[in-house]
Amino acid sequence: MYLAESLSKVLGARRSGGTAGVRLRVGRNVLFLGLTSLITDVSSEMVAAVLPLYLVYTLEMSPLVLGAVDGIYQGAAVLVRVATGLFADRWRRLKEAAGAGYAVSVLCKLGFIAAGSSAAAIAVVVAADRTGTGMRTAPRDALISLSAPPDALGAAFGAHRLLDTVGAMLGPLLAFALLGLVPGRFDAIFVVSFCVGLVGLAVFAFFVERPVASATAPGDRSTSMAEVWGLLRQPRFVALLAISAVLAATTLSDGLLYLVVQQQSGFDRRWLPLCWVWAGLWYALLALPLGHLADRLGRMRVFVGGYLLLAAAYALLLAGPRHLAGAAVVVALVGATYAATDGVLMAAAAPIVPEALRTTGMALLGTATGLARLAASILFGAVWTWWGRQQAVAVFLVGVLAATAAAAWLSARPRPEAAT
Amino acid sequence: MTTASARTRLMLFLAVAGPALALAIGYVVRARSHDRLAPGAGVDEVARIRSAPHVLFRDLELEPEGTFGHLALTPVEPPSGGERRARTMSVLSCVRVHVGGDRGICLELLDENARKATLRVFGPDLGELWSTPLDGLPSRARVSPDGKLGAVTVFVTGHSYSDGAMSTRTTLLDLQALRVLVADLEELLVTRDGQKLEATGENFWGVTFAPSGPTFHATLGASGKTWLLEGDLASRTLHAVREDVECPSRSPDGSKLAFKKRRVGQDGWRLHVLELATMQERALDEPRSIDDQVEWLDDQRILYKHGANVYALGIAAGSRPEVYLERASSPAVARR
Repeated sequence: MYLAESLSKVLGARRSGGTAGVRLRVGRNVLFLGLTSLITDVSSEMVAAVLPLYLVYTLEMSPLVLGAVDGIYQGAAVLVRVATGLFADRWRRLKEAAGAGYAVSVLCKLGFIAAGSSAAAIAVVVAADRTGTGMRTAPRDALISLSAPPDALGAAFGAHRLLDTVGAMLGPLLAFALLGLVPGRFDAIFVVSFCVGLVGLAVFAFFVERPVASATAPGDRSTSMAEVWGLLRQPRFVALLAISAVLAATTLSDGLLYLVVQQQSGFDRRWLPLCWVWAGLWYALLALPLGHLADRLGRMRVFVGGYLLLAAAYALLLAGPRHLAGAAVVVALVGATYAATDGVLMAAAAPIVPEALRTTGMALLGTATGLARLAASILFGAVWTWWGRQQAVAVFLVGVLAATAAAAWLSARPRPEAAT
Repeated sequence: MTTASARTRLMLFLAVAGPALALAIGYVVRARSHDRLAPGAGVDEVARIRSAPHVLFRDLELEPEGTFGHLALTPVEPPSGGERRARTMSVLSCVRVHVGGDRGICLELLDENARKATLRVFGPDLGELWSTPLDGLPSRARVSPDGKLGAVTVFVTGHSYSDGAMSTRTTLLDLQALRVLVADLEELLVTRDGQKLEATGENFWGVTFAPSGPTFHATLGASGKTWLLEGDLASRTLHAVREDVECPSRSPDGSKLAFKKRRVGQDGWRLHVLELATMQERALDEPRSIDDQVEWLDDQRILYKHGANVYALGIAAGSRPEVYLERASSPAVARR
């Protein structure tokens, strides 16, 4: 899963950096934070990329179970992030908060082995794993922001995001290699993931320094419920919230989507983890160009239009690609969809949300889309299980087209200017 | 930690990362080379195990290399000492295996994506007697206790019984004459309460044979329901006798059917036993959802696959499921 927030910070900071240009040199602390993220992402994405194989093919669970587990995987982190973000701000022990999050996720990798073949236990482990992810995201971003001078924030987040994305692609590759080395031994994947996570935790614990936090440091002011309510009374923000949630509700979890691709096109299931790598590649290639395009054409246009790419992916799936090339196009379209929507949504939110409430606003957007995707995954899994795979894809194709039309209408509507 | 010197920090890091990497590499290497076969286990070992009641199964262990998915044997009773059961490999690779009398059936998957499989019939020495291509993904295989009849079910479309769009084909075989008796159970007349059963989207699966004679049970799925069918090969008819019974399995004494039943209000199946004399059914003490056609270990205990293991469960109330074979599926008890 690609978290949008950091990328938007990159884009935003670059623009605000103005004529100074992008600084290529990033500090030691940012580098180690990025390295931590890279290693941790290898650890978590290698598990995410084998979950469909493990749940559906080895444990023979229904797509509904995969939908629920995958939905939790993609939704839980955002939900927890809101809560822990507030907590970390008040507690002001960023390194401890982030470290606890890393540690929870590392321990959960062993939980997968302990959970055995119980769907409920696996769901609990996935939820706990993603809780760890959610716990660490906000304090980690705060650590980054405190580890770089204000005029180098863009480069800092950019470098971090780059390392993060590299990890997200290396993880599924490692899982693929391991499954080739020891076919069917998912316990080996979990143990290796645990060990890799431990190394990431060690980098974080021993090499990341506690930055000297100034009282007025950006990003560590806590938000009150009153501010959240104020934001929820702004019509433009509420419209954006509704649009993003409705569109996210038509977006399948990666695991479900790639499983459908694999079953429709019939490529060997062992290649499934490579879908994450392929989509990640297209995301990495297109995120910046599409971000620039959004700045020129209008962010809402690119954001809403991005979902037409998803509709194309669904339509192609429905047509039933019977070969690898068709599957590759579908997965590339999914990666392109993320590139057109993820960061762009946050960039679209930036001018609507007052600067003081930016973190809260983005957290709210993340929560709404996370919840919507959780619901989408469960719904898709249910329709697939009880009705059929093709039918489920058809339902979601209609859904994404309707949602895109509704979103286009909503965002084109003239709206009253916000009061302040 | 912030006051520690760079050297101390590096040492601390290596103290964690070194063992972590060693564990990761060691675990994978061990998984690759994990030696389970006793040296020299081979023809003699097979003969020894086969001289007593034993269980054939699909081996899901990955080591030694090249054995995954192959047919394996183990004595019914574990060797003294309670150690891991000895397994012995055969060159047959079977997704589903079943035996009865002097015959066995092995369903080998050739190409999952093209849905190509082979049905192999083997004799008393595991030697192949006959094979025929199967179009579909192998799902169930049964041999009658006297070794005369066989039945196989494949998925023509779909992968699972929980897939609403799946369709199956069930074929009956004469294992002595080595020929197909009924290519598709659809060919037989299905009646219910003396009337021809009218239903849409009919699927047949999960045949089980009576201890002797040409009668059998199977599952009919149609119009969103499932029925227990009682079949008679002599008259080529099937009668729907009861609703909500899937993958029946007749006990060795013929008195009971173990089966899976859709759970109410949740996904999956619950194992049940039906007393044929009274037609009373009872849920078994297995809380998990089981998708398998169970195999009777004896008249009081059943075997079935869950996850990657085969479990044994007594049918008496208060029994607890126990792992019978780790990393195995499709257990078939050879009772001779």
